[in-house]
Amino acid sequence: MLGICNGAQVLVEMGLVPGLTPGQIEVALAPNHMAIDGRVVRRDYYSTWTHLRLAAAPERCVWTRLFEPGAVIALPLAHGEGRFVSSDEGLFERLLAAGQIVWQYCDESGQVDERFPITPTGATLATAGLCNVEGNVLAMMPHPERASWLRQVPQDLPGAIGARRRAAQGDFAALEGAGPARGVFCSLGAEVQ
Amino acid sequence: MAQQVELTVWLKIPDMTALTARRTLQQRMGYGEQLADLTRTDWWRMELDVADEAAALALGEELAGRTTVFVNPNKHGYRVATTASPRERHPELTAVSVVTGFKGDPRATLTLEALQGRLGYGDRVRDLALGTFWTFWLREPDLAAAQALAQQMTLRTDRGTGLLVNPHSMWWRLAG
Repeated sequence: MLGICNGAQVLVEMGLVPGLTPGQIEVALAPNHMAIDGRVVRRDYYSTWTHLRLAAAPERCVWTRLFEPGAVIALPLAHGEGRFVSSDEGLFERLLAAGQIVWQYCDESGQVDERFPITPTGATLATAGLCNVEGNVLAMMPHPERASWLRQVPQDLPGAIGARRRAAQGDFAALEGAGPARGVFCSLGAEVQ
Repeated sequence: MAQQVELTVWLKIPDMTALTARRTLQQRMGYGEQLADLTRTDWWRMELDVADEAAALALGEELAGRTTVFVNPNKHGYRVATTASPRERHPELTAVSVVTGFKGDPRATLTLEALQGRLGYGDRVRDLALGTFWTFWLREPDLAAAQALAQQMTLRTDRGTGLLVNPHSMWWRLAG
């Protein structure tokens, strides 16, 4: 099961993710909170392209099995309430250690950073994608379906993925090739086969 | 001297969020017998540096009616009072109101900065709090039992319990 954006919110509110005690509400997706040096600069809805780093071992989740360890992908987000939080202090550290924080926000070099704008939502531990204990349910706030073809990537995106997109300009076959987040869906396909 | 007033702001058109929440509680979560209606308004608590209650209500009225911060007169109605209360009247039902909000919500801080700075109210507006004022209209004559029901419907602890507040990101309290 994959929940993207509103779908991720549903998985959280249904107690399917992180699912330590299935059915219990263990985390929340709070309104985005964007601050620089402690001062709020934006709040709520935000739309941008961002980079994510694979924080768990690829085999930890059925939606990441085809990625290389530590893979960095780029994809867009567009939401108002995507800040993973919990009143259980230390929970996210435990989830990271358990490999349930699957994706974290990072810069184009793969450096994870909780601060805005690298983590656009203010999420705890830069969490962008969280899976259940079994690794077969993933709640993901950014949109992998909007980065499944290279042509979907903006030309001005910084880093290697943006460079690949710029190099493909005018090359129809390359533009119709796999985008940076296609592996999310192909991973499930490989799992099913 | 600090005085507090509460501002409630509601939509002039039917509130689809409240309707959806009511129907979910009635039809999906088993409260069809007890819950007759559920209403919602925005809620602001203003701490004002004025001499007395009358001055506080007058300044609250000015802030609500003359700035464009809280109310869009094209789509909102509003009321300023010392304590918020439900707008509707259903004498045959028991009303239980709760105020909910997001922990660390920056909107109150940002609005306070605008009032104190750009809009020139300075220290006359000392503090603001922001939330949502929900009222459960219940077919339960006993107030304590009605409040317990309202708490059940408010606080979401697992997938079958509560709807309005995820305690990991939100706070709530009984109003009044």
